[in-house]
Amino acid sequence: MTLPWWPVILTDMAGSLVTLGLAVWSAVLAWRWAHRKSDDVFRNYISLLTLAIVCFAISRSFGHLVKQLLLMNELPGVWKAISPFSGAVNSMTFVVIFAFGIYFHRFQRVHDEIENYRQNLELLVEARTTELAEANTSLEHEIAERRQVEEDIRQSQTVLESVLNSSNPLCITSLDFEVLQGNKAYFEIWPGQEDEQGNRVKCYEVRPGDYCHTEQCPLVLIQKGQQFVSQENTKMTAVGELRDFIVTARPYRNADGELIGIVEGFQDISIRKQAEEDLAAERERLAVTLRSIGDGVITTDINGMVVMINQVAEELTGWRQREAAGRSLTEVFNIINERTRQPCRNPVELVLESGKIIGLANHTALIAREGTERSIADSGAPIRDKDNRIIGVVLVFRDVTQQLLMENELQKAKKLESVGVLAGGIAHDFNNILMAILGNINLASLLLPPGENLHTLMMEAEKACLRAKGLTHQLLTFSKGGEPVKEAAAIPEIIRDSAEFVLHGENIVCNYEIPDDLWLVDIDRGQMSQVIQNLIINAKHAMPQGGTIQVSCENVFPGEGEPVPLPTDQRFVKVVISDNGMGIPQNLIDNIFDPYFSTKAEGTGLGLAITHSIIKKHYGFITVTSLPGKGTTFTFYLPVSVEQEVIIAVESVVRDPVEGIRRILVMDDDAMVRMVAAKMLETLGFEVLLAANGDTAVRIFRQACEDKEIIDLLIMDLTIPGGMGGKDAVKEILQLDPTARVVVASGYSNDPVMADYKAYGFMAAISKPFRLKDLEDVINQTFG
Amino acid sequence: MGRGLLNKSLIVAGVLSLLIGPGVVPAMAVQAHGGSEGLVAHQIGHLLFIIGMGYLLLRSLYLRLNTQGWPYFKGFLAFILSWNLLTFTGHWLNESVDPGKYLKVDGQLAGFTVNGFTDLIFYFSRLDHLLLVPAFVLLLMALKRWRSVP
Repeated sequence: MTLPWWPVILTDMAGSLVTLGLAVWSAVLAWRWAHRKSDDVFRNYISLLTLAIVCFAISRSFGHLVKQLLLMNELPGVWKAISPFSGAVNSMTFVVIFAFGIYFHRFQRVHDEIENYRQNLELLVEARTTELAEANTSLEHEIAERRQVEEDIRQSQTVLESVLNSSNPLCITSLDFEVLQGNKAYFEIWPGQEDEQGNRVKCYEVRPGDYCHTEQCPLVLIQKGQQFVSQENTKMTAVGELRDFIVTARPYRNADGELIGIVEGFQDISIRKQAEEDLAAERERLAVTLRSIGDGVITTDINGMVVMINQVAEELTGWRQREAAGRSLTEVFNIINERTRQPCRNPVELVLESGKIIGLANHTALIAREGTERSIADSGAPIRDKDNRIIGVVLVFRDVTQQLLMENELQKAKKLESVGVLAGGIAHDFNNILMAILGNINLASLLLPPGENLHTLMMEAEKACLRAKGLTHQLLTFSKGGEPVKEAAAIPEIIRDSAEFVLHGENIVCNYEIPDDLWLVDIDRGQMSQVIQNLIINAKHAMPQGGTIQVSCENVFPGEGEPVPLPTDQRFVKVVISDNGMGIPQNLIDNIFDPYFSTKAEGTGLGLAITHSIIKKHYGFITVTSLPGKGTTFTFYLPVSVEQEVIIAVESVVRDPVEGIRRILVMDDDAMVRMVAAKMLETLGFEVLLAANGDTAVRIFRQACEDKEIIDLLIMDLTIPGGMGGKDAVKEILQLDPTARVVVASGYSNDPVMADYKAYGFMAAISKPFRLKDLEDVINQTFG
Repeated sequence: MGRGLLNKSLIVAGVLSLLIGPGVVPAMAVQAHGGSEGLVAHQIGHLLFIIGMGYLLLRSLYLRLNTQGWPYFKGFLAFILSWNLLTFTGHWLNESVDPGKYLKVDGQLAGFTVNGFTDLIFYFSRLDHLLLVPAFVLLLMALKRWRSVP
């Protein structure tokens, strides 16, 4: 069988080409593959083996292609020449391939070892990586936890710092008294932990206080074992200000529990202490105010229980604060109606019902604990808190017993005043009438020879007029009061006259022991008569069944051991009026000279008060002694007059006019007074001019001055109703003629003008009604 | 290690037996290898190739290298071994081939007369690229496969 050769050629050539291409491609792939992981032994082995195989393939393919081409071109000789080289190269590649082949195991082993190592390494790495990852995770957890802890610590620290810095001043002090730490508030008060040299400051240097260097120092106490110290302490701040603190201290220990210092807290109580002091001062002020209030104050709660009573309330109720506190108000403040004697309604209830300030009923009497009854005026008011809720009641009351008495007496006094005004008015008119009667009687008696019956009757009538004058003087004194118009007088006559006047028709005997050489005294006859009458009246009232009044007088020299402190440079006349009546109780004897004091239901209480006042105005003294059931003795002392001669008047002798005095002007609103005065003056030989009021008198005087017709003397009534009186007229008279002589006349003998006439420009004063002798005396006095 | 060398010796002995057994064939002018190189040297080369690749193949089978490109590479090894055996045989038969069996036309080889199995083997040995090309294809595939593995 013949097989074609062309498949051989074709296969050889095509196969060579394809093989060549595949070989090159394989070489490239192998190289790339190996280059991708150049440290891979297996890759390198395959790459090199492939390269060797590729070299074989290239060599063989190239050889076969060249062979075929040469043979086809009929160049076998050339092929023959080069074929050994082609074959040698092929053989060489066979050997290389063989070497790679038989050493595969070594490569494989190395590769496996490397791979194993690598795998182990990778496993180790992986394991380690896992470990590291786990460790990393764990570390991250730890870190996260740590960070969380740090964050928590930071937060805690921030919170702690905030808490510390927002709290009261705090500091940590070491056992060496060094300030280790402090919060913001602390350093605001005591800044600085270190001195200029950088050393830590000592606590007693930076914040000196009361207990520094003493056993009471908190650090000392903590070191001795106390676990907590709390003190009130005054400390000086950095700016030198003293402030009060509550200092607390606790042990400061390290982590091992060892004591290394103290933690001190400082609570500033300066404001609180100041507030306490202010409160205490305010309370004291309130307490003092309450104590000083003149009214009684009682406060209760809303249940009517007493909370507080002040001193005045204690005195009025008889309950002390400590006794009254907690008791019912009705028990402490027992009030009744004075008229019905029924208990009054509880004021607390009234206040709580109304919720307003109320004044309680009139005629309310407070029954004190010991039974004393007092008239009170009271009011109650609610005590409200800041929310306007009633939390209690305050009662304010005062003793109005005396006030009521005084009001009653005032009413009586007003009545008396009205009576007095009426009496004064009547007395004034009556005085003028009396002037006319007395004056005419006086003039008529001059026309009668002495010793005649008619003359005697005239004298008695004159005496009666004088007595009436005294009575009007008393009435005027009673109505207007006033200074005494004193003159030297013998008091025995006044005593007898006054006593007989009072005791006329009574079954009381009056005995007199009056020496003949009794000194004269400077007295206002009218007032002194009133004094005698008051004392005799009292003696009479003390003996309603009758009795004896003893009146004695004596001269008293200074230093004679009288029971009253008499001036040693003054002589006195002593008058003693005694009765054997019921006497005066000892508990009342000190009050008998008080106005409106009377032991008699019908008494005004003014008699002895006026007596006392009159004696005082005479610069005298009055005392009283009494024994209940035995009688009462009044003793008064009057200064002795310098003048010891009483000018005895009423000889009814007409004297020659004072030489040089011719014209006298009389001014009085009452025509009868003018007529009587004119007659008296004419009897005395004077030329009389009359005027009804001050204006007329001034006009007449002015005209006389212009006419050069001198008016030597003017007698002017003090008071002219509805017109110019003597008080005003004298001013104008003196303006016209400063040397003019003016005498004031008035029925108000106690008038201040009458008492001190010179101060008003007058030269003398004469009391109406006056007699001829009185008129003559005053004329002589004026020109004397 | 000792066992491996023993295995290699057995393989070399076996291949040499194949070379020695069929006898020696005379060299021809159309042979691929010239007289200066000598057929023996070339055949020894082929034997070394065979031994090397055979050892590599056996090793890979022993190690059960079946992953990635190894299947293809083992195929390559099988084909290259087969090619080596065929080429070795062809070279060996070429020495004993009667040049008269070549048919020339116009001086060019046009055919070959096959009168027996050996002639047939010889003829197919001249078609060795039928084994070589697949071998390189497999080699290429193996390399591609290996290269494709990340």
